[in-house]
Amino acid sequence: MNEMQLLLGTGAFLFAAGLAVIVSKKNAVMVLMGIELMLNAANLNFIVFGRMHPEWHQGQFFALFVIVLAAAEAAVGLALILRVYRYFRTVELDKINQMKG
Amino acid sequence: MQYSSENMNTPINWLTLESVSDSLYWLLPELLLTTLILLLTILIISPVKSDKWQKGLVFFGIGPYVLVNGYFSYVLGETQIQNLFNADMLIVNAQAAKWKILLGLSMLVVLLFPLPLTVKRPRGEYFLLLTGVLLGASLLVIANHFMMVLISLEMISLTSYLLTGLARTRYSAEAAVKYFLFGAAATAVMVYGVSWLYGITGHVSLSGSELAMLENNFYPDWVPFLVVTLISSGILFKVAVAPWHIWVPDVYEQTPTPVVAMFSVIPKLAGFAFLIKWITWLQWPVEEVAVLAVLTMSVGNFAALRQVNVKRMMGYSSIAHSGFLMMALLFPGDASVLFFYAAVYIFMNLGAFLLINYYERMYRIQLIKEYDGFFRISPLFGIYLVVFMVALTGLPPTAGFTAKLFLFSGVLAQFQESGSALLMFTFVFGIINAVVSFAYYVRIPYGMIFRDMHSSVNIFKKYSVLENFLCLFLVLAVLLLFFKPEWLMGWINNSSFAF
Repeated sequence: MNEMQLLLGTGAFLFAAGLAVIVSKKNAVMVLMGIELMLNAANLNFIVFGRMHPEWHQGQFFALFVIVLAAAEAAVGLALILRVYRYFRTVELDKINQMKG
Repeated sequence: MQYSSENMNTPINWLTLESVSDSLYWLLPELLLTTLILLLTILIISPVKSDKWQKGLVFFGIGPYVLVNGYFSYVLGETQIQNLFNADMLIVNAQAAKWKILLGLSMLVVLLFPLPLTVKRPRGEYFLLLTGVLLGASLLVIANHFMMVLISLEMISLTSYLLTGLARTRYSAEAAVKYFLFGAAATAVMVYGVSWLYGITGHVSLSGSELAMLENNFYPDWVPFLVVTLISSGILFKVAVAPWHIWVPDVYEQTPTPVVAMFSVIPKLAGFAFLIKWITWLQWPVEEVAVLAVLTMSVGNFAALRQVNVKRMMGYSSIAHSGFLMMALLFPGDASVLFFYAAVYIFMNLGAFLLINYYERMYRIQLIKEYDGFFRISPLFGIYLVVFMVALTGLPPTAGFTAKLFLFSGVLAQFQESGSALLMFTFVFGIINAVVSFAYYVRIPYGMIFRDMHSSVNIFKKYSVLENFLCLFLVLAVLLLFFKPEWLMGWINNSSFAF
């Protein structure tokens, strides 16, 4: 198993772990963490593939943009979760389900 | 690696000042919106507490945005401005300019919607976020590179999450968090898919023939399919195609109505404007588009049948219309049908939401049965509602019928060409769905006209000049385009809509 396969495998594992967290966890902050894991899996992939296609450093730039994007998303997400906490006094997704699904 | 591409040998074109200024010229509409956002930010942090200025400023920003795009669509004709900033990230052409005109016009209509009282005042943020959505949508329409697509999709998404949570109610906060979690997960899935696209082909732009590289022998067959599915899920989530539609009902029910009207139009149309490029590039098999289209409209229409809340019902109705718009992607070589349907959809959907907003604001009603008997109180608005509902169903004499006629005849023509049984199946299912949708669209006007009023609703006559004129304008547009569809079609086709 060479280095690249190992790194891509790690990426795939991170992605799967993030997806599993999103599906199984009931805490909104935990779900947000799962999403971050998935984005970081993509970042790792971009860096690895960036070495494979070195032309314009597109992979590295993409990873930088994804980091910025993840930061913006976390900011907005945490603000919304704080608002929900103010109304419901909890961030458990089961308990903030007042509308019929 | 064996995937060295031809780009290796071409020298990098360095940016010159001249090429930057040339490129900025073609980005004038987006620059207008960016300036508008900056000015709005200054106004929000300034001590001015009234939002009259901000509202005026938005109109002064988006009006020129539409005009500049109109000018571009006239000037560009058949030419394409491809290498802005010496990169292949954006493509500006007459077609994109026309999409942006549609987006700008619908944003102007949305800005005229009166806001409900639950939204905090002064409402500077509201205008700022709406402009942000328009900027994202506008970039998505001209995007030709997945970095651009991601940035513009995120710009639409983040502002949409905040707009969902704008009302000061607990339901609004709940809807915003749900929307955010679903949406962020969809984005993450899409980013991961894009990373694999980059890995396999070495490119993330939609020009060139990287598609061939997707289907080589180096990877197993299911890898390209998986990559395409992952990437598409991010876009299909935004345009609410089943099975990525689950966020729609909750969000539509609890978001301020003007914002819902915007959600049902702007991100959706920008998404479809990009989807048609993506599908053309992919040469996506017709079967998958057809299956998604049938699934989406069936889910939307059949779920809408048993709704009691008007906004929830309109949410499912917008899912169903996504299905019909998907049908237009069955013949991606000719985008004029998609464009026509989209334009008509804007008129009828914004009209319907304008009336829902009116009744919600004036009489505080949201349930379908509460509309009973309202025809006697305001017959004019009753007639408007009948027209919009008939148009959404797709019956004559409204433009909704014309749009569906173009759509179905296009599918039939495609069927005769290819003989694929699935296309016939899609056609039949489209007709069935149009009939089913009649059952729920007609419920509101039927109750309004033929049933007695509920005693719980306080009855007094209210009148709103602005909404009256806006509705009249939209009704006239919907009726006029039935009798004179060639006016819109002629304008659409005066520049090439094929790829």
